[in-house]
Amino acid sequence: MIIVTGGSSGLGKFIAQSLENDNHKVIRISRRSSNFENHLNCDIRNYEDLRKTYKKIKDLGEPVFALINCAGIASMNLALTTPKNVIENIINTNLIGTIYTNQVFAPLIIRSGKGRIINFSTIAVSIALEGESVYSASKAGVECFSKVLAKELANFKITVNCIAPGPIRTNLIRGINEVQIKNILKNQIIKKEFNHQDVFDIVKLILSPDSSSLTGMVFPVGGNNGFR
Amino acid sequence: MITEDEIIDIVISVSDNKIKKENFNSNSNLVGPNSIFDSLGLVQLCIALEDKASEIGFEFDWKSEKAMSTMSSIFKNPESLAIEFNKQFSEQKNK
Ligand SMILES: NC(=O)c1ccc[n+]([C@@H]2O[C@H](COP(=O)([O-])OP(=O)(O)OC[C@H]3O[C@@H](n4cnc5c(N)ncnc54)[C@H](OP(=O)(O)O)[C@@H]3O)[C@@H](O)[C@H]2O)c1
Repeated sequence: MIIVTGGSSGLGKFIAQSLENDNHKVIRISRRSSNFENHLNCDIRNYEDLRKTYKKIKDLGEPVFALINCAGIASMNLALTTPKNVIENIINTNLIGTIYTNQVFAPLIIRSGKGRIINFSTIAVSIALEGESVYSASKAGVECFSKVLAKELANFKITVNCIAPGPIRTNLIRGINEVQIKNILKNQIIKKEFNHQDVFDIVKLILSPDSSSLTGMVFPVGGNNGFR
Repeated sequence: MITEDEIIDIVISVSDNKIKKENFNSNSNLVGPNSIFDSLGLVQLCIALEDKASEIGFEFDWKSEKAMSTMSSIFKNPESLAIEFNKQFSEQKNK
C-alpha cells in the first residue's frame, strides 16, 4: 500500500491515480472530502488528526511500502510584506505538517521491513526565487529534514528523498503569470516546461527496487542551475 | 498491563538475542551512553510495545508530550518504560 498526502488535487492526485493504474493500493489524504475511494480526511497540520489517520491505516493490516508527501501550499509574497498568518500557515503546512507526517507514518513502513518516503521540495529553494522566501524556507527545511531522516531510517531499509519540481500546471501556481513561469524555467538545466507525468516518472524511479541505494537526495525536475 | 520482565524479553528479542538476559535488568539503560541498545533497537522496541498495546486494547503513544516531559525519559530503563506503558493503559481504560 502507498500513502499519498495531498492526493485530492494536482500532483498528488495524478500520482495516486497513476499508482492505482499500476495496480498499487493507494490511500489518499487531504483536508477536504473527495469522491475517491480510499480517501481519508486529515489536516497534516494537526498531530492528533494524523495519529487518528495512522490508526485507521494500521488497522487495515496491510503493509505500507511508501509514503509520498505532496500536501503543500504556496503563496507569492515579498519577505517584508507577507502577512503573519500566511507565514504561519505555510510553515505549519509545508514544514511542520511534513515533519509530523513523516514521524507519524514512518513506523507503518518500518513494520513492512523496507520502503520509500518521498517529500516534495521545489526549484525555488535552489534558485532562491524572489517572492517565495517563506515558501522556499519551508521547503529548504523539508530538504534538510529529509536528509537527516534518510540517515536515521537507513538501517530500516527505508530511503528518503525529495522531488523538487519547477512550475507544473496545478492549482498551486494559478497565481503565477506566464512571464514568471518563463523566468523560472530559465533556471532549469533543461529549459522546458515539465508536466505531471514527468514528476510521476521520478516517483516511479524512486519506488523501483533498483533505487534502494538512492537516499538523502533531491531530484530536481529538469535539473537546476542552483548553487547545490 | 506489562511487567518489567516482559519489556526485558521484548528488548532481548528485538536485539536478535545479542543482548543477554544475564546482562540486562530493569535498571539497565535503554538510551544514553551506557545503553547497549542502538537507535534501531529503540524504534523496534517502541513498535513492539505499540503492538502489545493494540493486543490489549489501547493505544501506546511513545511520542506523547506528557510521556516525554516526565522528569526522566520514559526510555531510561525497562522499569520507567513499564510504568509509562501501564499509566497510559490505566488512563485510557478509565476514560
Ligand atoms: N505545481 C508546482 O508547480 C509545484 C512546484 C514545486 C513544488 N510543488 C510541490 O508539490 C506539492 C504538490 O503541489 P500541487 O501543485 O499538486 O498543489 P495543489 O494542486 O494545490 O494540491 C495540494 C494538495 O495538498 C493538500 N493539502 C494542502 N494543505 C493540506 C493540509 N493542511 N492537510 C492535508 N492536505 C493538504 C490539498 O488538499 P486539501 O486542500 O483538500 O487539503 C491538495 O490535495 C506541494 O508540496 C508543492 O509545494 C509544486
